[in-house]
Amino acid sequence: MDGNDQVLAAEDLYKFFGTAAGKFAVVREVSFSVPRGKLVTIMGPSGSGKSTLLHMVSGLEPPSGGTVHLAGHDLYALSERGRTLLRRDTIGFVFQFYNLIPNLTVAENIKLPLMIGAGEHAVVAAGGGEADAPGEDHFRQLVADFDLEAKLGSYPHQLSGGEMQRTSIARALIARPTIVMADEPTGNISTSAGEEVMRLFRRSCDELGQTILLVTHNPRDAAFSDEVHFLKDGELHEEHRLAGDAVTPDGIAHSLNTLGI
Amino acid sequence: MRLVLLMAWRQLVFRPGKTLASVLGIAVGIATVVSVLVVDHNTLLTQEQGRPRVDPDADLLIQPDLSSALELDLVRDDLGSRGLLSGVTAFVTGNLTVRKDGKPVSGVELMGLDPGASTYHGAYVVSEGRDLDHASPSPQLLLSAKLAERSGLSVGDVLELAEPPRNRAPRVHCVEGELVAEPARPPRAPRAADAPRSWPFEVVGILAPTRLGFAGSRALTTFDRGIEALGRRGTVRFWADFDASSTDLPGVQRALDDRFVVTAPKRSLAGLAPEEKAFRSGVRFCGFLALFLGLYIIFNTMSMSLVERVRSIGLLRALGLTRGRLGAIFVVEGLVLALAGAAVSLGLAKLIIDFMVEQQITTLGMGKPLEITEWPVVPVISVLAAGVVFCLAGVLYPFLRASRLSVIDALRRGVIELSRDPFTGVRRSILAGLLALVPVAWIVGAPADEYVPAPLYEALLTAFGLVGGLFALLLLAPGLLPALASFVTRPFRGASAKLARATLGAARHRVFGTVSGLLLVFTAVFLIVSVLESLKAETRHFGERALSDRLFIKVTADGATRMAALRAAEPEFSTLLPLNAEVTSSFLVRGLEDRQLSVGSLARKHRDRAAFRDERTIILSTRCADDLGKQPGDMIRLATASSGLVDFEILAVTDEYGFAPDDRVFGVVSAENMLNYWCIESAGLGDHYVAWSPGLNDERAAELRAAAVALLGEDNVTDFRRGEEITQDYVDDLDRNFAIFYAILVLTILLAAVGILNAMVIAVMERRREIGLLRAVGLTGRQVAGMLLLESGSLGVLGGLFGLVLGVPLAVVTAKALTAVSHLDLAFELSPRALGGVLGGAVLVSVLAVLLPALRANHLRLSEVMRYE
Ligand SMILES: Nc1ncnc2c1ncn2[C@@H]1O[C@H](COP(=O)(O)OP(=O)(O)O)[C@@H](O)[C@H]1O
Ligand SMILES: [Mg+2]
Repeated sequence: MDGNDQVLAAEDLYKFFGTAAGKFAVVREVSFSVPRGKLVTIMGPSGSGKSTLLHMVSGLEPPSGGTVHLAGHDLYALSERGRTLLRRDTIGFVFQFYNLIPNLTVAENIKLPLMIGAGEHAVVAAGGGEADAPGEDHFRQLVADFDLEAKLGSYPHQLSGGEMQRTSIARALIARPTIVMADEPTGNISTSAGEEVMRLFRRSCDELGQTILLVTHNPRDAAFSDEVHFLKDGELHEEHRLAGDAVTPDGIAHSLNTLGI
Repeated sequence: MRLVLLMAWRQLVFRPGKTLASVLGIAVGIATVVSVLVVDHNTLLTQEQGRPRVDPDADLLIQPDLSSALELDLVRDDLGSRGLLSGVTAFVTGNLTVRKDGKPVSGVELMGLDPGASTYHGAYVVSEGRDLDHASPSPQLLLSAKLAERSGLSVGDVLELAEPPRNRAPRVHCVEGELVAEPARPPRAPRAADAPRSWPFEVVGILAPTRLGFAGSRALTTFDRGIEALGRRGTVRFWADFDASSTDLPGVQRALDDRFVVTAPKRSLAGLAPEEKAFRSGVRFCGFLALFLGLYIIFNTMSMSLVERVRSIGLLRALGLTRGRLGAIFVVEGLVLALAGAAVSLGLAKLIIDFMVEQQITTLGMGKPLEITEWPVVPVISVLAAGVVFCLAGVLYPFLRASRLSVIDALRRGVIELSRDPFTGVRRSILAGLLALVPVAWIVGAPADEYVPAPLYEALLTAFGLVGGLFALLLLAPGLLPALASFVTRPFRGASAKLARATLGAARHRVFGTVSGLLLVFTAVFLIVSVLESLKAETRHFGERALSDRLFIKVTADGATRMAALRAAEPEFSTLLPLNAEVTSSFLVRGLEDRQLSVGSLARKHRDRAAFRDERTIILSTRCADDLGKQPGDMIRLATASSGLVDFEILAVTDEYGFAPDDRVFGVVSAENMLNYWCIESAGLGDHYVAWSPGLNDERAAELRAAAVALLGEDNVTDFRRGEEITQDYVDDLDRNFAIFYAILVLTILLAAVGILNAMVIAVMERRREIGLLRAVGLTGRQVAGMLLLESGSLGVLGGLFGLVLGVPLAVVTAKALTAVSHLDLAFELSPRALGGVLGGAVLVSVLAVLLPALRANHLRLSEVMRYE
């Protein structure tokens, strides 16, 4: 195994938050990695520190301790600006809430990463795809796959929750990022819409070789992944990690049970 | 770049109300200043039109008491050594005849000048040929263009200046206070000795038709040649400027009183008298207050757009948008707003100016002619630029705040609470804006003015001290305003009041921003209303002394021939006497018959009245005596027509006998003295008459008017007014003069209202969740609206109160400064009108401004507010 196959590697991450009562650790001693072309899930109940972890590995929130390597860069050795540019060039985000800019149309929201990167020198070559810039063809393809043709001119407030989330996933994929990071992407939408979203993730992983890191508390979502880590009270329980064929609804349910989640 | 433009554009287009408010805010601010500048510029131009500059640019014209030419050097040294004057330059004038080839060509006024005349006072411009050479041994001459043209003379010609041929002497002339009748001389044969003496001169240059060169027939030479040619018929006088440290005409007059009569010819130029300058500065300053409020609005609007877009910003930052490009979005928005505002402001300024032209509102008061001939390009462009810079400054804080925003915070919380934000720039930007305002206002607001009179300067310093002190107090004790605001809401009970108090306590910065905006505006309102009121009080007071109980009648020349009949017709007309004999010495001197003293404080003082008629005495107005530092019994030196400088004894100091409503600086001498010393006879001259008529009521006045019309004919009575009416007209005039202030204040209040509206909209937006929650748990829409009204209303009360706290001392200082510069006896009086206007106005504005946000809060869609929370 060489490091090139690890798109993301987190080592010994800690995060403390201070309150009036003193400091407390939200994330403790977390190490994990995401191999290229895989869909990796971190599962945990609400409040277990999933979002905090995701923010740390994406460069949004400096950890209190530990290191993160993203696409070969030591994330927190970079300047704030360096991290911003690295985010721009390597990560596709799907957040739990508020994924879309209200003043931009669906089409513009999808192309947002391209617009942000337009005319700027890329610090890291775009990830998993062709050498030439992701263009109109890729956009058409995504819009067709995500069934958004009819909505391209609409503004976010005119969309349903499922459509919003499909738009944000299309946006996350448009720039062919090195890795897509998704925080509870199905959290606010119906079960059927959630399944549709997960199928899309699975497909882009299988067909385009897209690397994906997913954070969720929903076992149904986790069942779509190649690898599942379990997070409880800020700690990863690697002894319960599931990989490959072991990732089944039953396997997940069993791990959750033994962890007492 | 595309993204930056797209984001900025969408924000502006999707929020048309906000965009409009910002554009209008900055536009109204700029337009106010621009229109004031343009109108001021053109007011002066219009006043100067048809009044070409014919005099040198000297501050003072000084006439010495010269009994012989020998004394000249002593006098010159004397003037120079007093340390009050600079650029003392002598000149001599007199009339001669131009002769060419032995034949008289034209009469000419010869002026002999010291070398300093053109250097210090720009007395003339040579358009052709060369300037006088003061070292040259040969006599040289500069001719006015008209004279050269008329007499066919050009550079290089040699001519003779000769004493004018002896005209037939006047039948009567006044000499040394006596009327002398000259016997008519029989014509006799010319003799050689009678031949007028003459001097050869070479024409070295032609004058441009301006200043001294404007006159039709004038010739300039060196001072010595002038003295030589004019001899005894020449009059020597001096031009001089105030020394840098002394700018006070009465002071100079007092200091030079023993040997000189000093006048300030420029003081009669429109708009340059100190009180007029003070007035114009006030107008400009109010304009700049408007611009400052424009900034406040931009600031609030941009903050609003920040609060609204916290999440968008967080998302864009998460997706990799750098701070620089985020800043670019704000700057582009700010620039578009500023440029649009500047563009709109020009149109708006045009409208305001047209309105002012139509209403004849000028910076020297209302009802004066005003014609817009040009826009002062440089000041207007500087104001536009200042507006754009202010606008970008307003963008600066929200941008800094946005770029420092933690991505996680923005995404998670979705709200930044500006009102609780310690970094909040409301107070900083207000201070920075105020500071920036001072130099800008100074540069643009003080155009080409030489000096600020000392009392005005002190007043300015005091004012800055007071404003600075109050703001420092409010900033150093940040808890003060919120505590006071909660205190104001004390009488109110219920959930709304409780919530309002809680918010007021928490939202220090918004409280500070709103109260300080209001207090500035209403301080200005209070100040202006107070000054106006004390001016009115002063006018009424003067009117009581100088105008009331009198009847003023103006008739045509035809009517004047029948005055005797009118005098006999009604008892009130019995004291009807002419008012026309007047001359200007260093102040206006009017000739009155001693009968006109038959009423008033001198009525019973028979000895004084006899002295008035028979001796060299004068009655001074209070302001005149004050200006000159004179008291009854003192002597005063006047420049007379017949006898040079003559001392008059001051008989009394009173305004009662001036009958000159529009001039407060005057003296009154007897008709006899007027005739003897100024050769002016009042009888039969006149069309102005005054009669003592105490206790006249409206009815009787109407009867008298009818009687006068019946006797003189309707067309011959051009004016017929009681003194009380004249006083009232002057008071009304003051109201009109202040119209421009009211116009600006209305615009300013409008701006303040928009500013508060914006601030309240932000407050509602920030507390969307809170309000949503309150509504969800059962607070009615009316209660929410009540809470907002209470909040804003209490800020209005504070704004008004502090407006008074600042306004009262400022009004006192202003009244003092105005008293000093105008020598009007102004005293600050707390007028109920100002008091009510300020308190009521501040509350009204703040309550009106909150209506819209309250309505919006009332209709807040709960589902929307609570959607993601
Ligand atoms: N900025 C913060 N300050 C203090 N505590 C925080 C902060 N962010 C998150 N937390 C706390 O950390 C814990 C984990 O939060 P989070 O990572 O959002 O969990 P999850 O996404 O798994 O629901 C929670 O208890 C939350 O209250
Ligand atoms: Mg979470």
